[in-house]
Amino acid sequence: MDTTIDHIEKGSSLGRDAWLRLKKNKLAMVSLVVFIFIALLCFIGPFFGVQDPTTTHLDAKSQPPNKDFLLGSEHLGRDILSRILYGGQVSLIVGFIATFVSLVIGVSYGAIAGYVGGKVDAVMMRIVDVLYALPFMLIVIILTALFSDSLADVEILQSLKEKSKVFEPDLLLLFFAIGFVEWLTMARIVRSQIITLKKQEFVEAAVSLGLSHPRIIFRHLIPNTLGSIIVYTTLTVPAVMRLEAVLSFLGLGVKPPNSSWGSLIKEGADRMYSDPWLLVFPALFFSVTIFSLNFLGDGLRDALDPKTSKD
Amino acid sequence: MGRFIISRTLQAIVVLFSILTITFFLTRMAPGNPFQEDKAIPPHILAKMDAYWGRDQPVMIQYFKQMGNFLRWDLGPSFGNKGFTVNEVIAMAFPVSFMIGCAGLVFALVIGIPIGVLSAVKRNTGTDYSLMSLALIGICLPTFVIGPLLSILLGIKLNWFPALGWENPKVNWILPGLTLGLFYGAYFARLTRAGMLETLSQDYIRTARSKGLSETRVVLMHALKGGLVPVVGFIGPAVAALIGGSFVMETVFQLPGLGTHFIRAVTNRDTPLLLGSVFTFGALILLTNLLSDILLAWLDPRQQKSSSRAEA
Repeated sequence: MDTTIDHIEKGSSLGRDAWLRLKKNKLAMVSLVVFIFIALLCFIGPFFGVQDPTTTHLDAKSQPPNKDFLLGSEHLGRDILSRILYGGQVSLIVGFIATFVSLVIGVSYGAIAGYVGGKVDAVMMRIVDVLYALPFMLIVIILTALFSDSLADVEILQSLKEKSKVFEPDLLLLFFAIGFVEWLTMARIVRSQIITLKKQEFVEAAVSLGLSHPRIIFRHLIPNTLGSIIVYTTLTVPAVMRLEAVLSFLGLGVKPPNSSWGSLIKEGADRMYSDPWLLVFPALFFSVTIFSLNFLGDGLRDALDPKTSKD
Repeated sequence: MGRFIISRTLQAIVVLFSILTITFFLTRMAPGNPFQEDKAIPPHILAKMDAYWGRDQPVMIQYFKQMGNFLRWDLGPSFGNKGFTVNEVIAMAFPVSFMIGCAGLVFALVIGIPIGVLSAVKRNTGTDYSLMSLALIGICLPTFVIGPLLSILLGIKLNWFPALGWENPKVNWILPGLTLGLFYGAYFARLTRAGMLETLSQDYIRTARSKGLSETRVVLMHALKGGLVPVVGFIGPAVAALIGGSFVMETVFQLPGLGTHFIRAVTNRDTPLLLGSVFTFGALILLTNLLSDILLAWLDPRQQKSSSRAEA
């Protein structure tokens, strides 16, 4: 009997579907391009002849934008453009690594609670409820302020600092302090998804094949929740970046001579009456980045998760 | 309902107690001491100072003493503000933070709710899109950008309101309050719109319309109560966020509020003042969370177990 099939309609994967939907969303695509552009500018731009961010030019203090200082210079004659680019590296690195920390904690916590279920789940989620009620801003401020400088003597961090222009031991504190308060919502989202997923046949099949629980959780269940994880992660990055900026603005996050967009905005706000460009440009970079990440997150939600999107 | 309130209150007390405990032990684990100055203090003098303030006793004894102080609401002298007790510092500084926080909340509700309602009524029209884009801009522009800009524009250039300081509390609250209000108003606008859209599609609204009521009456008298449920749910978390925002406002507008004292207390290891301000802020946040949960349970008895929080 002849069973050859001439033509099979090519299936479309979930990811491909989502990408096609995302491509149709002009706002999200523009945001994606803008965000990639800013990120490239921050990380690659410094290799193309911008000035050193820490060199002071005492003969060119507080210059408005001109051809030597494209975005002006501050009260010590340091170039604002290069400070914004290097500061952007810090802001973006903090945004992504702290989000990653919260992602790892939140996803594993939520997945374990959802998979094990029963009393373990009840206790684990009760802990999340209690942590939710904590005024987390106070906790982050206390953590970052109390333990600032306490990592300065760790040798590995010292050598990392010497190798890179933007790394400070205190950044590590920031990653964990922020990551520590941002994982709660992720844990809830993942848990609720795992609970619905674990009743499905493919999990039963995995169990009957004798796979270990960690393998089922991390190889079979979590990949199926990727959609919501990606969406929520994209929305967490701007939230984390804003938190970092607030901390740096209050003088607790990134400290001079290192800079981030938050600390640059603070410096600009202190001198906004005489040198408004010091405030305007860092604020512009920061806001445009936050904008594009938020739009991108909204677009991804519509693309990956059409049911939960707003009206 | 009574059981719900009691269990929530007990939970809030437990949370507040744990915050204080965590804060106390964190300050003891952290390096540094409250007497540090530029010059190194000789060890024998440091030991005397520690003994004077009771810092040489076992940590657990100090902990129970501090907690006892809370029960009597007498927090003793502040390490950092010489000559002032913690109670005095809080009594002076808290009203400032409280006032701009309240002003922010009122501005946010006054700005956010009408915009949200209008947007929902004119759904998917130009008005809706432009209002919602405006709200999104408001959310993405952080308070520490809006604040300085308003201070330049309305304070210096137009000279309508005082740009900085707290010399004249009758008018000094306006700009910080407005800054916070614009930011959180944008959140409220989005929440109101979503809530109104959901309510407007309910059957009882169709009934109201079919009775021949005017659209204004339907929206304001029938839909608004249901549409505000998400807004009420957000008020608790918003107050928590407003307190964080007031820290920023105090820095931007140079106000002598409790946020500034709190941050200085952490950096200076001024444990009594730190615990005092953490208690004040924590109690305020938990109290509003409690109130908004109770209000929610009353507005919509189905959701007696929700708890949420806001971004900073």
